[in-house]
Amino acid sequence: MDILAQLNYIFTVRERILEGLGISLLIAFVAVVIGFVIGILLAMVKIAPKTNIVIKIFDKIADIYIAVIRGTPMLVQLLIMYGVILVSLKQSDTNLLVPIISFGVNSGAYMAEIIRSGINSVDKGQMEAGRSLGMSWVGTMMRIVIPQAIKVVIPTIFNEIIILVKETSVVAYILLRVNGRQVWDLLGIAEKLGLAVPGAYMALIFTVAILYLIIVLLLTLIQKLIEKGLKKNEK
Amino acid sequence: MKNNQIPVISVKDLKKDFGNNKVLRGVNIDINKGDVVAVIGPSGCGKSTFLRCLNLLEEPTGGEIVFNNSIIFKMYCNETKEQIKATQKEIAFAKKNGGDVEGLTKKLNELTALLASQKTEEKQIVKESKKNINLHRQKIGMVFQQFNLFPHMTIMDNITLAPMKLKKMPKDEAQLLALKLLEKVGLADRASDYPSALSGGQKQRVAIVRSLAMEPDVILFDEPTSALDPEMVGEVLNVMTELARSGMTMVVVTHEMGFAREVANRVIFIDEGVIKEENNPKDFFASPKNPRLVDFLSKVL
Repeated sequence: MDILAQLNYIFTVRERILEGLGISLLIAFVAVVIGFVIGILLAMVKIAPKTNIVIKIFDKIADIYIAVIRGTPMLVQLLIMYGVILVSLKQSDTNLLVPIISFGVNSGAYMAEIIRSGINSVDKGQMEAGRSLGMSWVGTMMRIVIPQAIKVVIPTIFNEIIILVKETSVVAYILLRVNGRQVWDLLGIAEKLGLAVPGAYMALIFTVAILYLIIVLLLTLIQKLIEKGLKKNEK
Repeated sequence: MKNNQIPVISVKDLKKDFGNNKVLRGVNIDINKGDVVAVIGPSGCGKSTFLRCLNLLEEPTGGEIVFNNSIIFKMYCNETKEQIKATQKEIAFAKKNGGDVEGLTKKLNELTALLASQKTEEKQIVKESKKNINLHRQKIGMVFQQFNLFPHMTIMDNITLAPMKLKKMPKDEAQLLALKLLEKVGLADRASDYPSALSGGQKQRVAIVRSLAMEPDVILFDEPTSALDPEMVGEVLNVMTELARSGMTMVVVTHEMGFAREVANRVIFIDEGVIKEENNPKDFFASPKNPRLVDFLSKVL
């Protein structure tokens, strides 16, 4: 296959590639949202004063969660979720929730540590000022401390989002369905299409690389815009 | 200024340890409505800790705090525990060397019974206080050395946040109140700025307005001018003087002897974790009695 034939082939299957890209992005971005929420909750549990038994138990659970998630490979977690924990979800007509939950749960552990470091970087006088006005610990956390912490950790959070977007490519290891029809993520569909026509494989892999690169560059741009917006707020 | 009404804050035998470091060793004071109490003392004497205990930003380890007639802190069981330990030692000593073992054992039993009743009572009080502390703090304003304005909010939002969220004050009403208060400290035109655009003195004036917006019964000032450039100290002290004249009850930890002398109606000297001397400002500075205070004043005046 010469280069023109390869380009022509990619052009004819463009819709299937774009569908794969859509699946990948859908999984990644819903997982990021889930991960962010889990991360904030876990970080707050880790930071909270350990005054009663309930919070101590939650603190231990958070420790175990973070240790297990960070201590095992993402692909292994995905396979365990698919094979054991989320079996009923896996069998439904649309089973994208399996990878979404898996990646969200995974990302939550990393987000928790990122957000915790951000909260620790906020001057403790901020918490004291909020409390001395009569606001609750959680209220001060949500309105005063976390908004400032987020600003500090934007670069690290985007780092985590970028890693997550690319890591979703391991989802090609499991069978995905939408309304009963089998679908593939970006890398999955590229491999399938690449193997279907002799000599097309590498062209499709390069296409995948270029698409991921474009997505990451876009994310970097969004990060820059957010950072700029937040800076303007301060001055 | 003696009157028959109940004190705004009443402190009995207040103690605070940080591990083995006994910072407060029993502070007693009644702060009445309209009082302006200046708290002075050498650094590390516990005066900031004392102030931060009053709104429980720092949790005391012993004593009692009553705010507006409700007990917000009470703990005597730690003392009883120490007494029990001491008595146990005495008994051991008496057994070895001969002594009033019987009497001491009786004392020990009494103390043990006391401890049990204290524990039940104080547990209940701590529980109640934890529930209500946020409500009490709405009535106890605090101004910090480092201002602690919220940097991600405008001056207006800094001031209106607590009245709107905690008192459910409508937004326009809260903003009107904020503008009125800002006007008083000469900063009405800065309402839409962020704190980073303000000088230290301006920040501290906004911080005072922020606590005033909750209409507190008392305001605690924790070295409010210590982080300021010298030329900005005056503008903050002016606002505080104005506030004192308007009848606000204030407790001010300060190094500004001029303020203590001119504005306060009571000056207390804290050293080694206790109030070593208390007097009206005139006599306090003119004829100090405690030798540590004499020494301290000779260094700072």
